[in-house]
Amino acid sequence: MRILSILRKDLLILLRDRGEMASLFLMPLAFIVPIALVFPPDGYNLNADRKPALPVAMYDIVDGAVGAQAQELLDLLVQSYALEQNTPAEEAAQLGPAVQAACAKPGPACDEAAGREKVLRNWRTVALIVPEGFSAAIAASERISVTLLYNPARNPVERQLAEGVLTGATMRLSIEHQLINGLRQFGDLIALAPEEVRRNIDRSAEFEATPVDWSPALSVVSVQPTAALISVTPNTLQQTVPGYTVMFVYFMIGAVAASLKLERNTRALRRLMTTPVGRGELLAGKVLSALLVSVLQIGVLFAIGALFFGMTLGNAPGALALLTVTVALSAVCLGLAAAAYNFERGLTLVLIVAALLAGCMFPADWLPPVLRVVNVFLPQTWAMQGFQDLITRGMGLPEVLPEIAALLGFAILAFAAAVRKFNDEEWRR
Amino acid sequence: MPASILEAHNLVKKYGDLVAVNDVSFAIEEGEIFGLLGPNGAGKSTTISMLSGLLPPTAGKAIIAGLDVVRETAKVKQIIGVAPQELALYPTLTGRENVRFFGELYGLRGKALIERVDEVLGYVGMLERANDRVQTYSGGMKRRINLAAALVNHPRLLFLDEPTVGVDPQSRNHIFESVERLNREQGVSILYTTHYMEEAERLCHRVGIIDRGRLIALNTPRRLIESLGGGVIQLGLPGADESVRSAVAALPAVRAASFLAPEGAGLPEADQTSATGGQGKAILKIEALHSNEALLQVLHYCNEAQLQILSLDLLEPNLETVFLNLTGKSLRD
Repeated sequence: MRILSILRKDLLILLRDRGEMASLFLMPLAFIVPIALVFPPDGYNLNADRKPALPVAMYDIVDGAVGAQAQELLDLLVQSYALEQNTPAEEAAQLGPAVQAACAKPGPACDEAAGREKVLRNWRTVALIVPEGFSAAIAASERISVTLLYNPARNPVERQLAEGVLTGATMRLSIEHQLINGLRQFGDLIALAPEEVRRNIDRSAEFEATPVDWSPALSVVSVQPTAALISVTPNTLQQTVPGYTVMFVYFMIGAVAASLKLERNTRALRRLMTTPVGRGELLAGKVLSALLVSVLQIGVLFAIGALFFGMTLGNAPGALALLTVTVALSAVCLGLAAAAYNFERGLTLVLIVAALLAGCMFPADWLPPVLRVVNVFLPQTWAMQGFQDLITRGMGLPEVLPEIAALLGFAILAFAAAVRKFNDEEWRR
Repeated sequence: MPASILEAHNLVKKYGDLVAVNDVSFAIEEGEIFGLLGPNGAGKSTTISMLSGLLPPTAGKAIIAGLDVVRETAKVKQIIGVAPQELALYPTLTGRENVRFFGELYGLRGKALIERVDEVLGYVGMLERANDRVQTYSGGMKRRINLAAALVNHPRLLFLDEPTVGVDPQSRNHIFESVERLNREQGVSILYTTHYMEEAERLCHRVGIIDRGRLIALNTPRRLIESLGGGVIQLGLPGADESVRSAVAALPAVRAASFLAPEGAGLPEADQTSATGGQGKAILKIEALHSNEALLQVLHYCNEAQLQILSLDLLEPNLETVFLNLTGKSLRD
């Protein structure tokens, strides 16, 4: 019962500390909300079919329709990309006056401005412009270029991929038409050939009548390395919300340290020691109250991500809850250790750098190998990996058990170090 | 003979080479207000820390209500209340929430807790402001809540460590009255530490004087003051030497005479040479049998001996003077 009294007291104190509450709840939102608003939900350029989006500005219009060869190019590209030939009215409304003006006359050829704007605004890596006369040039086996707009600030791999796909498609289209033109020239020649030769050629034309399969002999199929499936495509928020949540949940270290420092400085801790309450009860009450607030913090941030920004929470709610509690527990126990060893100066900087190394702000695998070795020793790394396993990669409890074990390890080590110091008479003076 | 609620036997507390409390022994009788009087840093708070189970003594032992403080700490903590020198309260909680929290730690629950919290808040005169946050209180009001929190568990023995430091006169009087009523009406035994001699004289049945960790006197305030005889005269005599001191000590109305340590010497009594320090600034402390007669005789002697008097203080017989007489320095040094 004394634990509950301490828990209630600490909760009241923490909840009345506006500065601390702001840093725990409002600061992560200050990062999450702008990112959610700046980047569209398909921030990875992925649509519902898990294909990257490719804006296309089509100028090759013949008799009010896309030219035959241009359409063939689009048919090839659609296998790899979700083409954005038209800007839907609701999307155009969000894109600003330039795009709205460009799309004032809806039609297949209105999207260059939209494509440019999307690339310039960092929403798309590439956009394609198919010029006027494209079909006619291909049909005549003449040289013509398509334009690929790219954003140098985006991931270069995405750009290289787009260039590869486009080069492959245009090459195939070009070869196909050169072949057809060659056959036509060959037809003109065979009119001059002897009767027996022409008969043999007619017989081979029966084979020509069967549909041509242009698909490559070798195909590549991408699959996830897990049995679990993502029901909804992951988006930017799947990285942002857990990232900043993990970053700021470890700010609880500072809150716990400050709370114990206050009790020590006001000598309330000494007074508590003159009451029948035991040291174990004191620590348990303190851990529980901070744990509750931390779990609440993660819950609120995830709920905001899910309710307002369409973030998914994976397929294993039980594992997510368990991981959440473990993450919070490791943060609270580290807070106790920070208080015990008077580690307060520079703590915020350390937490920010740790979040950076742990992949809270960008994927940790972008880090150089040396830093990826270092970040194994950060609880934030395991927390981030665990949340991404569950939320982004759709895994379940068995897959996140290593992360949970690692976080429990951090919690136990920190708690033991703190208790050792608290037992020191000098600390309690 | 009344039973002792507390017995301290040869308590010692050392921090490395520093001896904070040195062989302190005393007993507090049931229903007694016992004062520990001494300057800051004398060892009063460390003594309370050992007696309340907060710090283990380096040597010696303490018994409270028949319980060994070290071996039966949990039981001892149930029957004592501690109002520490520092305002050990939570500033963002209200006065009521603070008192209630400490009540819960002693196992009080439900209606009994609510009633007891109201009772002690009323006792210290803080019911009206009980629902305001402690951070909005004056220093005196915080002290009163500090006292209320120490009373919430119906303690048999109450430790009040410098309870009036930084307190306005109104709150100080309130605390005095609360302490007197607690002792008179509820029979609570109290260990009261202070460096204000007026408080010890007013409240305490007996006073122990502590300096540099040692208990150097213990008696009722009246007996301690009576030990001064007819008062103390301090005389600034440049160039006075041992012959002057012995001549003054031999005067009929004088009980004893000695040189005070020069300022900063850090000695309770100084010998003649160190007192003068070769600078001719000796202060002769004269314990009188009868102050008026002693004063006249001393002035007559100085006149006869053609000694120049630089200063003259006739000290009122009180605990401050007792402390000065015992240690050669003021309580507020």
